[in-house]
Amino acid sequence: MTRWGMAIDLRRCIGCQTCTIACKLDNGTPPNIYWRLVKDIEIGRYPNVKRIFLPLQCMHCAEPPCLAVCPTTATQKREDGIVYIDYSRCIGCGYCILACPYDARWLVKERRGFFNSELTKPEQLSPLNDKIGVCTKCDFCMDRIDEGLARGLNPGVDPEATPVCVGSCIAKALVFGDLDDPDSEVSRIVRERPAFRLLTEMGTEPSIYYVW
Amino acid sequence: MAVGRYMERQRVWEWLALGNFLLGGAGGGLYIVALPVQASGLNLLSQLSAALVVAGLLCVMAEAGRPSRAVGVVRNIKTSWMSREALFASGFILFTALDTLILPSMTLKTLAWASALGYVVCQSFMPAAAKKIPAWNTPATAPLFIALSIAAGAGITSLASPAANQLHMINTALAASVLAVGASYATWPGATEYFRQALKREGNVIYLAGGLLITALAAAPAMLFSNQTAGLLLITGTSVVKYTIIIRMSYKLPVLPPLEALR
Repeated sequence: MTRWGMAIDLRRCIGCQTCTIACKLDNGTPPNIYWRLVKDIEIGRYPNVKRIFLPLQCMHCAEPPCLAVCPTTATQKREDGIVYIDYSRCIGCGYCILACPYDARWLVKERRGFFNSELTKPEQLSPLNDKIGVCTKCDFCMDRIDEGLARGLNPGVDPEATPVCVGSCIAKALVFGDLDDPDSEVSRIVRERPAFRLLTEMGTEPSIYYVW
Repeated sequence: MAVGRYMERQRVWEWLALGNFLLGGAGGGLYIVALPVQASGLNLLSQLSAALVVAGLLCVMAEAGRPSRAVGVVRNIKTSWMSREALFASGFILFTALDTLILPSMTLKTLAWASALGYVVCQSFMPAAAKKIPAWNTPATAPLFIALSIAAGAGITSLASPAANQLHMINTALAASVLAVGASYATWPGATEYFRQALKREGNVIYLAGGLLITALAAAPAMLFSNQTAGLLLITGTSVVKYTIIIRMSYKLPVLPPLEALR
């Protein structure tokens, strides 16, 4: 069984936000909506303080709380672990946003461009243009994965079949692949390096691992 | 860990959501109390109760991005408290309408009462399932909201039908329940640092204690307050508590890595 996941190397991430921009460009997300972003955070208390860049996105949890609360079954989980939203069913109630501990869901309230009320050509071509009043989020670029697999490509290895954020990372801090395949690079990294996941106390079983 | 600076309020469920919890909750609670005490003008109170539940649903629809798809909201009865809330609300409105407008019967009243109870229970579990909000995601949230909604319903019953059977005793019991569950909510031993922060910040503890105290006053001996005054206290106190939890304490759980993992 395949279970797509990601390892994020916090020692490599330099907080450049290239993945953030690549995701925005590829998915055409409107202003102030970030399916992924890199947070610059400081944790701890003096003198025991760390400052890190923390890339955040949908964790594609094995036990997604967003899926349980969604009243319309718009939120779905595929067999390969990808959690996605069927936009034709979503009513935009926002319950999933409050259930997701990771701040990974965004309600698109209005059709808005980056520059003024007139949308630019690229903005007009955004697949999210008609997704107003619904919740949106990262879907691990599942269209790229599916198309790549159909062409015999290997997600996580071939860039055309891999989430766009991974391919854009200038520091190679993001590694994507099959967590259930012990020979995949993502599995190897998670196995060999000190790795942790975020907010595991919530019982969500995220598919994003952070290595340090 | 200095987490305070990363805490910010959610902006998804605000005043309209509070409207649902206040109006819908009180509407369901009103029927739950008014039917057993045989309040005078029961027919009118039943209709008021259904109207309040409808008003609550309208608040939810007004807050939703695609209200035209609202019919799909009952698709996930299996796991979603919102689906369950919508289902019980629909049943309650239907049974009440049939009972008060077409065919009055004890069977319909009983079905409406059971639906009202289901509605209040499911609505109360809704915030408890919101893992992002530490002040909502507690084991005491649902019992507290159930007690608040029924107490608010008793408050309306007391205003509309102050001479109803056993009303003072019911008000006293509900006020005491709200106080007890509210106190256990505020002091529950499993509270995280984030819950405590939400309680401490911006005077929230004063609002919460104030709401609980106002509600508790309704339990005062009958010689001090009339049933109508007690009803007013119940409505005011329970509304202040719901406002405090839904609006004021709705800080989001910060997404921070465990410091020990970064050593």
